[in-house]
Amino acid sequence: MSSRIEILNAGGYRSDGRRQYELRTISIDLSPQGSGADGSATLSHGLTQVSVCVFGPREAKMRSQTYHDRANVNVEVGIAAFSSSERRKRGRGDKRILELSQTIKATFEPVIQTSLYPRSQIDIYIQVLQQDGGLLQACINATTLALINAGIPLYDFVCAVTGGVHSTSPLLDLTLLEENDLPNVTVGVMPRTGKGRLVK
Amino acid sequence: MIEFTSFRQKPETLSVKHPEDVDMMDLDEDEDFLEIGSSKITYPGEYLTSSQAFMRGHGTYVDNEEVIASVAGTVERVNKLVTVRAVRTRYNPEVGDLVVGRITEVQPRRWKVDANSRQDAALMLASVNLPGGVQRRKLESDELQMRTFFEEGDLLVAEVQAFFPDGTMSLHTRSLSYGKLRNGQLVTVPPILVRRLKSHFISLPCGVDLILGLNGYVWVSKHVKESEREGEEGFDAEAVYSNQNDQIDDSTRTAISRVTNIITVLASHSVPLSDTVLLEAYEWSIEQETDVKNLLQDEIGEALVTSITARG
Repeated sequence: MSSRIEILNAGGYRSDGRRQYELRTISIDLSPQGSGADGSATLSHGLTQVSVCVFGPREAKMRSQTYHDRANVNVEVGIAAFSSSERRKRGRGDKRILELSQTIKATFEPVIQTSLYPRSQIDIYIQVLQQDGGLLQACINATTLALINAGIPLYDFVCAVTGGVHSTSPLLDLTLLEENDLPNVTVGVMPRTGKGRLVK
Repeated sequence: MIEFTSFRQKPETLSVKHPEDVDMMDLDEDEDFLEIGSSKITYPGEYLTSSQAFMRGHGTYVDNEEVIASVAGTVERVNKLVTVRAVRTRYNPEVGDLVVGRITEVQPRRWKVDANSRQDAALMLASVNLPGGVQRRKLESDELQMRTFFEEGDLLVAEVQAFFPDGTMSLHTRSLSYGKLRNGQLVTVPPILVRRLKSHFISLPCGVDLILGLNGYVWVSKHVKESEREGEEGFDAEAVYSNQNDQIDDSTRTAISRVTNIITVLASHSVPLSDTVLLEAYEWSIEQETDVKNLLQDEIGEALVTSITARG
């Protein structure tokens, strides 16, 4: 927990000039990304930027992966080598990426009304373009938007944000710098019922 | 900067309507979307109405006696049925729809066809015409030469015949105007832009035939002469399953490309396709003497769309 950088200064400001509960600037782009996807969204939380493409419901590529009573949700995450400050290429089999995609899949499978599309497949392709903390929250928020953009029936939105604690003061929407120093948790909620979908 | 505000709570003032209140059309302002002709945009998870007074339709679900939207789109009401039509969605097939599709797989006694729907459609061997229009039961020998009719990758035009219990659609090509497609080019547009028309086979006077598939696949091809149509004397029944393109001259090729580019431009500006719109757009592009390839440039495309929407 020893860091040269002050996480929260005496005036109550964080290293990037935000207050404790202040979120970073959010920008959303829902324009089609030219790949023929059914829905797409590019979302940035400050310097974290992800782009999500949703295909489907469509015919499953592998018949073994279909269910006779619901659609199969397939999530693939790719992290661009240039997305973080040190250039690093991660393969598709990387454990961290697999965990991320499994988390996102577990978050969305109960929210999508999969029983309406038996034997189909819904593909969610997530591309991480820039990383500055709060990767999971950005992925979840962008996926929600892309699914809505694709016209796929959902029970509710899923909204996610990261929170951390610096000694006794809680902080929201951590940057990479804060995320490395603080214990943190990402929470996903469905606003209508207020139910939690995910705690990581 | 997007400010962080607490989530909007469900309005407490919204009282649950009794059916007799609704019959009197005494709807308060919060539920004015339920009046016919009004439009309201909704989003997943939004409370629409009580499930005691209304029935849930497509794009909605019921939780805790409330009808809640599950897609983003416009709310529509027919009598007591509340539906939400999504802004963008895949093609939802209905019996009798004309679709353009591509063969993806050859299976025992059936073909699988990609028709831009949620699952591949099935085209049964029993629901195709034999070359030459012979009427008989399909034999085992026909089953063995299924690839001579349709192969993987072939494009075809067909009609939705029925649905299987699991929701897959079954197609048929039992008409001489349906079958394999050649002499042209495929364009894909969002399915919502193709409306139901009296006829989905359109002949433009520039020597181009169009097939507007309701699934958003549009086939643009060389004009077939009246005398060579199905049932006429010049019609070659043996060529129904031919893989060979006819001789297409340069002017027809240009016209096909021009129509294709016009459709791409109109679709990118969300203009619904119809024969009059396409004809006007074609005439405009001839008047402006624009090169076919330049049609795809942003400024020319916008000029085209504004001139069309101004007229229509």
